[in-house]
Amino acid sequence: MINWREKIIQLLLVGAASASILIVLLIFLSLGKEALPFMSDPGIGRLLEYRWIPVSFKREVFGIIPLITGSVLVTILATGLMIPFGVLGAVYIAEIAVARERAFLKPFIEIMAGIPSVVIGFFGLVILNPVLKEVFQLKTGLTALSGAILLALMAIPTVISISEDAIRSVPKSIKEASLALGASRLQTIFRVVVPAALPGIIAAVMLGIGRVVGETMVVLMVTGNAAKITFNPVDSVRTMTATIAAEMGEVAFGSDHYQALFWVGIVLLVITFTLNYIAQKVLNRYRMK
Amino acid sequence: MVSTNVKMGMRAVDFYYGESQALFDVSIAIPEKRVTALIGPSGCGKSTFLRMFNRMNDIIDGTHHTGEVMIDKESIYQNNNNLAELRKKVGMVFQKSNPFPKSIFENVAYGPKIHGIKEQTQLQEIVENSLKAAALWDEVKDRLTTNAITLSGGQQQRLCIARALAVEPEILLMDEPASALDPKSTTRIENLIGELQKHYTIIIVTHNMQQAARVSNYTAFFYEGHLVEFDETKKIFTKPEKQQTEDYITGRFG
Repeated sequence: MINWREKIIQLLLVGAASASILIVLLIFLSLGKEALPFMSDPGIGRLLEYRWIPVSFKREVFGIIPLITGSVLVTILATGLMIPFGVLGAVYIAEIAVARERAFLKPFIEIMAGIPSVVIGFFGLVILNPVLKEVFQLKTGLTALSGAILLALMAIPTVISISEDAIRSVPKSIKEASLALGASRLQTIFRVVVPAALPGIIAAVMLGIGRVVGETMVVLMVTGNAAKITFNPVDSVRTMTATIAAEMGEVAFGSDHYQALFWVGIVLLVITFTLNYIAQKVLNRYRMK
Repeated sequence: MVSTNVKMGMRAVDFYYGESQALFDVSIAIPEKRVTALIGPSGCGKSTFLRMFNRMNDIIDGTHHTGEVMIDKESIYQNNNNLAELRKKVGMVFQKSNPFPKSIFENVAYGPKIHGIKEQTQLQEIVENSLKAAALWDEVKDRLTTNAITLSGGQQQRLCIARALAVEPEILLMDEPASALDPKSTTRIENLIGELQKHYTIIIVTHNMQQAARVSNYTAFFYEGHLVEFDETKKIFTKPEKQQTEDYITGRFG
């Protein structure tokens, strides 16, 4: 009787644990199934062209490289903004702010994490883009930079919140050891506390990057959606996510264009998987033995 | 009473955590290059007393004190005093070993680096000498780059001693340095204290009466924030002046 119960509970637990693996597998399979015919007709090589012109009276072009560079550019810019603001913000809240400041800042930042992306996109269109247009003297404010700023804004609360937890979990005893050796408060923070919290901080940043890579609505609204290869932050770009979101609704089912969009999805999935894998590796290297 | 030079001391010190007073009118003169043991029941103010000398009580919010704390005849609580310099001069070893999650080398080199030593050969020399002084060199010389967390408890505590020695202090404050260790490691630490005494003025908090008797030249007995008695260890343990001291030492309370 008891044995049976144990067995059933164990089965339930195994089921729950493997459900996520199963779902990921199913996603991969369904993506693969829809995308597969593209490999022979019109041929996988068509994906490596330098332009994305899926609808044309002459010849359709399905080069996903500009979409990848678009995503990469926006992600790099957003990460560059996210790390200093996120980590320094976390350091301030965890180590320097007095209790009253922390009691105000922490919930405030967590509320920021809950703002819907479409609202942030709206804010970008109405406020940020005109400002960027003025500042950089551009023809349009719809740029990779504005997307990156807004994405950083969305990811920073996550980075702050998780980094702050990591910093606060550094034992008080090693801070005391550093202070007792004559180190100042700032020396202690940057030479002992932050390095000790680094695994958690890296995890926080990777989560932030994951959010940035996958975010769709904001980039769709503010980056201009011009599929061209550029590494100029104030150029318009089109990301992979925005392309899928914008075109999937109107594409003819089963067409070459339809399959190409699935390939974009596969590439996106592979990129996020790789990022996660690297994050795990980095974490393992820094984790104490 | 004290035959050698006075290294440090207090004059009429009262200390408060917020409203509650932890030290009452403590005056003491601690001799140079000797081991002074602090004994007394838990919560009697030993650790607070110890942490007065490197101003570690400052980092706790809402503390204040009156009276004077002196090292080398200078008051250390004047505002213009350089805290980094003070703590370089007054090293501390904590109750629970607290190595940084860095390599063994980086743990010992941390203090010297903070105080501006950058040259690698010089750092190597300091690390080697400090580890030797802490009787740890032979055990770790082949794995200086491994994480200090991998050391055993006793080794970690000796590493913390090496780390404190690396900045060339004159005084070592030890807050129950062996209380979390096994008997063998404790013996090693006690022997080490005997060696270190030649070069450093040591104050050690201990709960272990035998340990106080073994390692110290002088003993101070604290009770409820008062310094009850301070004298040569021999005298404290054989014929103390105060009844309270005798009761505590013979185990009648505490």
